[in-house]
Amino acid sequence: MSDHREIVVAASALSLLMAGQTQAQDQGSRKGVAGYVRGNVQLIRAGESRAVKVRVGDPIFANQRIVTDGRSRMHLMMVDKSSITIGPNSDLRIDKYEFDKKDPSVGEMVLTSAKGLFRFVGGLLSKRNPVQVRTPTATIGIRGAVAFVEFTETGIRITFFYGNEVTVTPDGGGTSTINQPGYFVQLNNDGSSESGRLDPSEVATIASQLEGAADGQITVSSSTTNAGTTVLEIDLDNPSLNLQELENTLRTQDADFEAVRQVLEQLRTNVVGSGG
Amino acid sequence: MNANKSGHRLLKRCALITLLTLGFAMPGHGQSVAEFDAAYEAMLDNPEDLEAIVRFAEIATRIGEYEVAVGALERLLLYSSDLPEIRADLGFLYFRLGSFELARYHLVEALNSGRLPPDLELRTARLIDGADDNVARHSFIGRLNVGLRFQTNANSAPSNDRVLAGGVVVQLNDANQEQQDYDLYAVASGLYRYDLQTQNGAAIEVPMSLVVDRFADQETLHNLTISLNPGVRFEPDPVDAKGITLFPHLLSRVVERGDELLSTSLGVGLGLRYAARDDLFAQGLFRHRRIDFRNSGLRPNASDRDGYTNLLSGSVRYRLMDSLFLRGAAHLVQREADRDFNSSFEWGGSLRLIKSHSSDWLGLGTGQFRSYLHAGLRDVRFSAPDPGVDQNTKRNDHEYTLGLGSTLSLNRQWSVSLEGSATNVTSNIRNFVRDNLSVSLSATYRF
Repeated sequence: MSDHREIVVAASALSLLMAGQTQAQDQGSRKGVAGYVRGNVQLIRAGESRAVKVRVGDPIFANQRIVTDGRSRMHLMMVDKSSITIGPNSDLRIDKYEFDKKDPSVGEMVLTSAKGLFRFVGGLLSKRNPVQVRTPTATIGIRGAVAFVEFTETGIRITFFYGNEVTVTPDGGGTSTINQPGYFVQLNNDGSSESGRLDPSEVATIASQLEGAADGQITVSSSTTNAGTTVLEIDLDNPSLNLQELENTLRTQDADFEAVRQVLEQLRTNVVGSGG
Repeated sequence: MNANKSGHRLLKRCALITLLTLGFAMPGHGQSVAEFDAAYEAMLDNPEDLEAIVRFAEIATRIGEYEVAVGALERLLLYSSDLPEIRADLGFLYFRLGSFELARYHLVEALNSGRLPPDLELRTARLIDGADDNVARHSFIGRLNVGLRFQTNANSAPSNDRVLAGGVVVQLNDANQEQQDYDLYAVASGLYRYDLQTQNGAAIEVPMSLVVDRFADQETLHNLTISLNPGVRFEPDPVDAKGITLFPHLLSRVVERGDELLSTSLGVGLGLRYAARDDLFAQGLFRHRRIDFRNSGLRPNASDRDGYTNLLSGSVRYRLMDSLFLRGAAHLVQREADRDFNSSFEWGGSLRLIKSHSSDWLGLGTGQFRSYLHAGLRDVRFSAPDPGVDQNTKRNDHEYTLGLGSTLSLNRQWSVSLEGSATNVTSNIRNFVRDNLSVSLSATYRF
């Protein structure tokens, strides 16, 4: 398995930043854990506007909103053994999560999402009670299933890959049910809907969005903090990557980011961030 | 009588082996669940321990929790998408779940990496074929099996050369005594499937088969059988009874024996299949069929057997261990013929242990080696005495079979099999007491 290293570069100060710790919370009541985080994943608690950067291992609670940018992904492991993989440019809120290991039949999970892509893989909870996903135009019920939910420019597409069933109920009424693997329901922004079997090439397209890069590749993401500092985050999967390769990649991905070039010059001379 | 006792002893031994195997194969479920929970907690506590992910996925797979195993392995692919063996495992899991689209995606990616070990590569390629068949709207899967067989009693003649005819003991002529023979056979079978794309999984299915069997000496045993059984398979309750399918179908069959038409039959059937998990597969079948026999020079009184048959059968295949399966089957057959002495009631059952193992030791590096041990029992009771044999005795036969065989996969399409079986039939009428030993070597091509 490759090393996973991260170099955070503050372009304004040309210094290496260490990200702050996610606010400590009571581990005993965690609903899940961040099982994988790549790039800039922000967590916003209910009633707060301040975003906190999510780290692998951070506990996840109800009433939290998770936001990813264009180069970020996250995987949530819930305590009932279900999992949610959140793709790039996504926004997902965990409104409610109740699970009692001693009596899984009384549990409930309610999510809200308005953009992006996520995959739900069912655990104990969804076998008994459908997981509810609220969207701006419909409510989705996922019962004991592996399902993808994608927000596109034209609407929402829900694809069922395994399990009991997925129901899609538009706000205007009329529920569509899918229970055959590989079938989807698409709700268009104009109110129309369609369903059918997903083309195999599209399966590859959506599934690959929820995977990491192959060894030897780099992903770069940038974000702006509340203080106005631009943070450039570089994920390295290849421990043998040299700085020249890094620079080449950065030139490709952020060619107009002049500060990056200066940072790299400094890195090259100081050999900063080469450790595992 | 001695043969009868030895047959019973044989079956008892097989049953004992089976029970012992089951005993070894079924660890305490509670212990497994506790291990499963502990492995998940370990992942929650240390999400970046990649070994813990693999360990959890292994335990989840072992206890049949494929869905959560999928969740764990998908997480590994977030760390790196360049993990062909993990992808192959993920593909196998999705295949087991019946999610053929995702199975295909991961299996193709794994195969295209070119870095899978040879046996895994072959298995992956075969599962891709299987996934393709399930994803396509039209599909046809077929196999052609061609083999050479040797039998010590090819003509099913009685072991005793003195038999009853009209209640009188007569000496059989040489031609009607046991004849050993070789036969060359070919079995072509196929399944055409058309997906109706409904949310109850409905599909038109047309199973078909052609059997051609030519004997070296016993030309009257030449056999040609053609059958076609079209129907519609569907899930009666795709939500709450996932994995259960029904298959109402029509039956048609033509049989030629000794190059003369023997019988034609038409009927209806209802199949039931439960295949929600790959460690447990069960099926049941009811068939009602009208059979008409054709009188010929070889069989002048064949039409005495015209009538109806009702068949009720069931089988269960269970995964005892990772590569060891047990298959149990039972059947009942009622035959109502125009002549009572041709009417009968039959029951039977069989057990088969199937073991898969790697063929690496052969140096072929091409895949799996599958062996089986089979034991079967059949009891047939006729409704009335046959006056042509013994007008005072209703015939009652017991048949015992013991077989074993191995199949070696050579590549994605070809495999070779070596099989042997011993059959012993005891009967209350000496005419029907017989034995047979059979050995066959065959090659199979899948397409």
